[in-house]
Amino acid sequence: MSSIMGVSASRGALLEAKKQLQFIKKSTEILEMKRDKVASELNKYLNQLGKRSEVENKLIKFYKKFVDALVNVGHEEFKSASMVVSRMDTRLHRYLVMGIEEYDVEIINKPSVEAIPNLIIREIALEFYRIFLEFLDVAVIENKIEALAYDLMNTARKVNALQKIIIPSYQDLIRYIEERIMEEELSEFVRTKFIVDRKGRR
Amino acid sequence: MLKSASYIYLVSRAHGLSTRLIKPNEYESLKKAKDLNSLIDLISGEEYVKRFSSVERDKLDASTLNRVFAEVLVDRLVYFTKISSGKFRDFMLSYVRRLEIENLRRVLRAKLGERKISVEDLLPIPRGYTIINFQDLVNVRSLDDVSYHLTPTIYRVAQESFAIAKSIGSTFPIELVSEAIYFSKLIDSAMALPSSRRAVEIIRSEYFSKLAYYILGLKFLDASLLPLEKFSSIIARNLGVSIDFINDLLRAREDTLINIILRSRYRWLIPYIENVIPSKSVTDLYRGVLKAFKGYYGGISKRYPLDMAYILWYLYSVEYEYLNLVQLATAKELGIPSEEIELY
Repeated sequence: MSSIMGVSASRGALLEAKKQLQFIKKSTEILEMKRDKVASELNKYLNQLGKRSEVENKLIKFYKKFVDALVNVGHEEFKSASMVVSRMDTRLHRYLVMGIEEYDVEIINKPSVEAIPNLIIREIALEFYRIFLEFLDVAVIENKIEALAYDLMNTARKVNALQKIIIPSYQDLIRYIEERIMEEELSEFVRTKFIVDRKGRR
Repeated sequence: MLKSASYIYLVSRAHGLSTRLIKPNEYESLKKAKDLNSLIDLISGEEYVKRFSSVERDKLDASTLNRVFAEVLVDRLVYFTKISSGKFRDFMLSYVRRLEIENLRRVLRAKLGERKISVEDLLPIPRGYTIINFQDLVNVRSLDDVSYHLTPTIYRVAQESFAIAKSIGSTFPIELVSEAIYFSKLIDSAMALPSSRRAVEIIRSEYFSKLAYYILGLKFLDASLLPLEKFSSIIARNLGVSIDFINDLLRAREDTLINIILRSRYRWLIPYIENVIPSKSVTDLYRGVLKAFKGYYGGISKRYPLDMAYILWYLYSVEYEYLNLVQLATAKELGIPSEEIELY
């Protein structure tokens, strides 16, 4: 019995190959759906990529203000007034959505910037904290975009491989097995006919 | 009223000592200094020069210089206390308490934030010029221990504000009450002086300018003014105004507040602060208030050069010089160009 891809050309193998092809086609469909979903998710976040430069510009503008405040109150006062600010605690949450790793940052303890007794330093700290939160959002979004883009690339590659290599090769295999079976059936028929004819002639 | 010899002596000393202050044209050349090293080369005052000699040039930074400037500030105020006698000495002893208030503020902030603080982080006030033992105070564990240490001092009244401070997690109420106690004692001692009316008016104006900064600043930051409302009576007593006036200031919107000040004797503040309202910048407000007060007491001292007003002008000028030098040192360290440095 001949074989292709390590599969013998039998009816059992044909049935198995057809079952596998059906399964692969269904998987391809699911992967296609995932690819489309990831692509739309990615599109949703892509327009938020510009937020980084926006926040960076805010930080540059804020830096000028910060320098101005530092010059006005001096290092000693800055150091002294910032002592009242409590520690900031954060927790990193990891999620798995459709096999994609996503992270979120939760602020457990906010730094008590409102408690700063020097009003100039309080103003600076409040603004800096606001910008810090925006940066945190940007970081979370950028991380999501990176994870989605990486997954999109992988999924698209898998879908392509399935559609252009695996499925055609399975279709070839099935076609080959079917042809082989048909050939074998034909030769069996001819052989049977030949034997029957010889028996009849006797 | 005939002026006493000690009074004339003090006014003359203030005139003499004022020649040691940095002049406006000297500030211009200081602003143009390339860096911190050239800044200290340009400061020619004897009090500074002798201290700069002990500063290592290669490890020079703004914080080190600020400490030197603080030492000169303390020395000048203490020196003026030493040369005064009688009621002037009592007044000066009350006046130099502002250094003690600054140190108390630093300790309170460190203790509330549970941070380490040492005597080196404080202004070097000589013994005899402070009623608080800062050596002990820096080593206490908590804010409650600070409160306990204040029991035998004039600041015991501030103990009530410790609970509020702890509940809001800010030393602001304690700082506010300590300052109110300071001004209350200073006004009391100023009342016993000759030309007391003018002296009290100047001190009240200083207090009001600080108050205006706090009120407007808190409004700019959308912060609660409740901590201030609790102390309206002590603030009103210090300023010699009604509690309603203070409450009106606290409750009014920024633009209405300007109108209230405009109707008061503190209207000289307005040109310096009204243009800050649209931008709501606390830094600009701070600068405006400082400049306004400088213009105010400068004007009075020019009109009364042989009077207590001149002594106060000298004392305030010493502080403004400190503020300007701190500003210059920080600006030079950060490489800020001279045209962007705006001194008081």
